[in-house]
Amino acid sequence: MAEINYDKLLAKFEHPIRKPSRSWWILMAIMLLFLLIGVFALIQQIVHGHIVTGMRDHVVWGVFIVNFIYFLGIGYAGAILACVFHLTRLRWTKPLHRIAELFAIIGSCIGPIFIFLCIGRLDKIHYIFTYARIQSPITWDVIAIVTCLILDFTYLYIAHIRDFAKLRDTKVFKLPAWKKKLYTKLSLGYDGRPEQIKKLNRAQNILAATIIPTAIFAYSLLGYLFGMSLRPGWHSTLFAPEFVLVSLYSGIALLIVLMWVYRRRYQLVNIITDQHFYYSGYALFLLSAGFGYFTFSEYITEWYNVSVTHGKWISKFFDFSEYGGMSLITILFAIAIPLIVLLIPKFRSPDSITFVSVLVLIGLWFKRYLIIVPTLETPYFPIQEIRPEYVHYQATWIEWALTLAGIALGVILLMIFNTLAPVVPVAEMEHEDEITVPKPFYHSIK
Amino acid sequence: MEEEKNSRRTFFKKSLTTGLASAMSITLLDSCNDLAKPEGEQVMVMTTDGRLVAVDSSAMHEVSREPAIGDEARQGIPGRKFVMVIDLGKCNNVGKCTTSCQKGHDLSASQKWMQVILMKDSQETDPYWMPKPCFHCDNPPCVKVCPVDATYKRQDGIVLVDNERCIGCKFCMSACPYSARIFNWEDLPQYEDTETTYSPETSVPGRVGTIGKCDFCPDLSRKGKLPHCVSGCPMGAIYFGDANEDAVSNGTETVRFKKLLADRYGYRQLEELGTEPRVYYLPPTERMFPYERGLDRLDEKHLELYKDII
Amino acid sequence: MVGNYQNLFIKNTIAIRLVILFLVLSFIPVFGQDEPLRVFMYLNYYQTDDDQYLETELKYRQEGNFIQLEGVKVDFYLEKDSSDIKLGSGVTELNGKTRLHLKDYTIQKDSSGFAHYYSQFNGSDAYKKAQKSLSIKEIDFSLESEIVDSIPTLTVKGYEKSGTDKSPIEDADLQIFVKRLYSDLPIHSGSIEDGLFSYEFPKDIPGDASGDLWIIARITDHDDYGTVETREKIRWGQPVSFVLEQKPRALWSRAPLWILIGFWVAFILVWYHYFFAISKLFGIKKL
Repeated sequence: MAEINYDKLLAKFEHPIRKPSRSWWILMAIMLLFLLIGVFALIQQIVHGHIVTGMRDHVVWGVFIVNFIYFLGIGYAGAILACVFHLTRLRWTKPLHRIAELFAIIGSCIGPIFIFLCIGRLDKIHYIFTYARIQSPITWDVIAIVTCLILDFTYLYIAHIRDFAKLRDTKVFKLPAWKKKLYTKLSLGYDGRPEQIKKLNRAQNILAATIIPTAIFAYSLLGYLFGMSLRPGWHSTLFAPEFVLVSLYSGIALLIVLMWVYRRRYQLVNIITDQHFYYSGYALFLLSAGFGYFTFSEYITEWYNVSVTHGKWISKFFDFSEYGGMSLITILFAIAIPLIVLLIPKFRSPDSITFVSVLVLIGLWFKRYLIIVPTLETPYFPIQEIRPEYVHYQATWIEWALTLAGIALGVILLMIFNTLAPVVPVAEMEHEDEITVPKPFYHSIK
Repeated sequence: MEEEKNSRRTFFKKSLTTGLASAMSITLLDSCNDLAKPEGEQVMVMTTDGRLVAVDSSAMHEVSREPAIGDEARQGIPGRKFVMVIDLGKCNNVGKCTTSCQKGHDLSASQKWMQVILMKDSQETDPYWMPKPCFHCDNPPCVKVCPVDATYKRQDGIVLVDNERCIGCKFCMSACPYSARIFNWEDLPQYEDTETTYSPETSVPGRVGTIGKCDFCPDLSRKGKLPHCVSGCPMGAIYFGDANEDAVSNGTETVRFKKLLADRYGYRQLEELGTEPRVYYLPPTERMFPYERGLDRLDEKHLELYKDII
Repeated sequence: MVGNYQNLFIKNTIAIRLVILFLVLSFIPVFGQDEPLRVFMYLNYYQTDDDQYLETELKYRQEGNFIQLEGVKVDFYLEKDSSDIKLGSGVTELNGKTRLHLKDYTIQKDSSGFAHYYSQFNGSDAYKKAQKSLSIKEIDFSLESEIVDSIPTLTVKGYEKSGTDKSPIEDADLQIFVKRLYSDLPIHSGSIEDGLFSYEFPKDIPGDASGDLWIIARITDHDDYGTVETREKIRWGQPVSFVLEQKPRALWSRAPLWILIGFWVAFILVWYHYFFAISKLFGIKKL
């Protein structure tokens, strides 16, 4: 990597750091439009109550909680990946750190928004703290999510300090005065003195080591939240580990997609190389195999048994008038296609790996849908109800609009973060030797 | 506090005297001009042991008959352990339990705290109608998961929801294996009632965005009256009582609770889940009607519900 | 506060009256023009330890169902050789019943000790006139409790009163009840013979926390005596523990200690490291 000119690398990010380009603004406008539609939907929900959603007495949680699990999963995976990359000092992962850190924070911000949308009385939300019951998994989850969010934000900031310092001092492009001032403030007077390096490394190491178990536990809690209930389809000891694995799986997939996007956007072919895609592809392969293993275990265990309510539940996954189609999509998108494409060398390329990653991201969303909705539609006592919307869950436009708004908000946040710092940690790469202690015993990529 | 008590006292007194006044007005409506009351200013009241006696209205004093609020509503009625026994042999899907419950709790027609469902346990066994209230479990999964202590277990065995505390997270609904809980999805006109003081014992007035469910009508028990569903059932299928007293009543007959369970093989729903319900069922052994009788009043749309069973 | 309640009640009673008026009016056009409906009248006599009353119930038939007739005036009379005395009147309530308390009256009886009552509904445009009579002999009815050979034994005594004489009741069915929250629980049926009935009280009836029980002896709907009861509070019940035990792992009110400890350990560990890391950051600024 020695041959990289870091000033030239930084120059690639002139737009949007110095001044966002026109395409940035266009994309931003589109995303804001989606967000606006979402806000409109939200107002509808607040004014008319939850009746405007597809949620009803049996399926009390719908697409909102699916999104909650999904975004939170992405967030925690990002946090875990960033911290693992940092602590293991895998040199080739260096250009990917920033991306993982970014979607860590975005996922953990947007996830909780969706849980708020599930709550009937937002005006009393502070009761969660004032009347907290430590026995309730929701309380654990709230505390864990808030903790993780603060930890992630702090980590993101620490990981940015070197870049802030570089941007403060850079002569590559002329920053507006306010931005220069901002970087001066945010870089805490860091200018690479050995004492500072030592302190910064300490802080980052400690925080990374704290975040990994916290994030794993926080996401496991979400698994426990469902696993500890008595409902068929949820009451499973496998849930927490499966949740964590699925989270990491979706995280790697998103990492690959963002790698592809940024590589194109900023022409980073030499920085985010094909090799990065292959290595991430291996991880994706392992995780898709793991996910396949969990899914198989779940289906075979439930299918082999003939317990009545469990039986009703599992048979919905094989019935195309129920959830057979969605189940098939999940298996194809998140298990079969990734395994085939990633296993056969001929099929492997950055583009194909990215394509597979997109499929995985879609498949894993449906997986979460399959975790939530069929179980809620299969209670112990028969649903005898003449109102069809009370029997089968059907998300309304409100829920879809808010889902799209959630994604749009993610893109918006990502774009705003991009205006602050480059998507590859330029300064960290430049001064890699300072961070990589002990010295690498292995020099790998070109 | 003292002041509040006083106001409640006068309130109760007023309720009786105005009740009397309205009765008088009816007499006038009926075009009877002389109204002779030999007892003069006597008012009828029910004693704690359930008898009606005449009392001079000036001798009236406070009786705590109103639904409890605040901490009292969380404690429960001292010395009671409420149980319900439902005789499946008597249920005929008349639906009076559901409607009288709705009337008593100011619910709309679609909010069924008490629901009658048609059950068929296996291929060869006969279907039966099953009224399904909240089971007021002794190990309630819903109470466990509530993050804000809005739903709670009382000393008298009743599980209640405090709608003023409830944040509407619906976790209790997904935790309940009996699907006993209902969400107040829409704002209904009756929720606007500002004149009634809210009590978790009545859940009136309701609150949009919170959870509602069968509450075993502790406000009625305080008055010595049976819950709405029990007194509403024309078949006498639902028995209610206090397990401490070993007695349950369906309004017309009163029997020993344990003996009823022993004689009629009483059982509970989904015993294996360990939730320890407070509602017992008597198997439909001594049927008063064939189950088809319950289908007679139903229209096509409702019959469609049971197409897998009948 | 009081003013509020007053308002509330004034409003409510007006509403109730309007509803009732509406109901009454709505019946009139339907039945008013037709022939008046037949009214079924029932008259019963009740005697308790501290009260005696007549109760009448009015019903009419509509489409095969009996419906309680509410809000009409009923007069009560005592029959006498020469002329009948009007004792009083009452207005039927929601359940179609109304009562007349007899305690304040000196009731004249005939030579064999019977008092002859009747109740009368004068009829209206919609309903026919109805009358029902009843002859009642007053009795002395009492309940005694004692432990005989360590067996709790109830003795019920019943005497007919005629003038100043008392003669034991020859034969009447009676039931023993214990008072329960909603109603009385029958525990035994028997009959009183020659003025006496005795019963070994079962030991498995739950009482309150100290074992107190209200025990009731009652003759129901007797041809001559009406419904007569006497009750006594006796400590013959099984004391009941009122504590509702928390089931294992119920987690109603308190979190188990291990959850609390686990939670705080994890919480402190995480936040300790967080602030430790932050302190390093401040170090950078100072340098």
